[in-house]
Amino acid sequence: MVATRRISAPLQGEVFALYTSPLSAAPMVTHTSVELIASKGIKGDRYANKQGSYSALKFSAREPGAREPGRQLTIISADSIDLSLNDAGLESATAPGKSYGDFRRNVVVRGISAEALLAAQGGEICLGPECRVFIHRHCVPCTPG
Amino acid sequence: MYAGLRARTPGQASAPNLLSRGRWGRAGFYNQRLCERPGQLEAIFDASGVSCEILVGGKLGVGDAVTPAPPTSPGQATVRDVGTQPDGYYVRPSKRTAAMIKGAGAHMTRTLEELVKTDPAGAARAEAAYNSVGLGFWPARAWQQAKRVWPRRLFLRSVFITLVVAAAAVYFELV
Repeated sequence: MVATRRISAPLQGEVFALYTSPLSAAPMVTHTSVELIASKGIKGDRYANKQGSYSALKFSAREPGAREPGRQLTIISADSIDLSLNDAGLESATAPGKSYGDFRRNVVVRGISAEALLAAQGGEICLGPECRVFIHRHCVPCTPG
Repeated sequence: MYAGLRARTPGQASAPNLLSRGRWGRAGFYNQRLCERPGQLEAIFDASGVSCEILVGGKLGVGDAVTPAPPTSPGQATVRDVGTQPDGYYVRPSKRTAAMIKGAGAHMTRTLEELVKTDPAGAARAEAAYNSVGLGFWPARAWQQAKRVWPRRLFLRSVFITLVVAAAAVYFELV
């Protein structure tokens, strides 16, 4: 059932697309490059501006009463989205009028499976030559909390 | 958490297997509705990505490499934070138990009660986002209650501030 298990790529891939949104529920904007701000988020993104749908929630386990640090940036695997949608017989993310930005994640990667991303939870990864991020948790499909 | 979701217009939701579980089973329909792709939630649950903290900022571009950081990197010692979400948050909706769903509803109600005091605009923003696709973010009863309490709190706060300002004015007038 879990299509992503068919991909056994290691954590080695590339940035395929970048998205931000200035406000909660506002359309995602595509970019060729973005600026990551340490401990904050992506410049211009709703979570860096504390304007995300979940920005009000202060569910940090590490620092009670604070926002979760994992809200700063999200990563999704285009390969696994393609496989999952295909296996379920659903319209592709590349179909007319559709986009990987519809999933409302910031960084879309290719060459890395969702399984590899989840396996990297609790570890640090390099994004490009300059940036480093720490993967805290699975970013489950948009649900309250 | 997810327990707060409720369809505003019954019949619009599109996964019969989830609908059969009642109103709490509509978790995560936000993005599914946004994408107009019935069944998407269950299909991509394991492929929905990861949440990250930015340790070192800088420029990131399309085509840039994504690689693991060296094991010796100081960032590897970061304390992982999976949040304080209730039981079942990381379980796909079709596998959530009644206890998980009930616990999540109670958790969201408590969260909203706190937010009404500290960040009512944030609570309203979350609700508005879900309303935009015909859903509700907070448990319906808790949200109705919050909307009643909220103006009362604003009124009492403004009365209090007015009294403090008036008292200060009188005091400085006398001095």
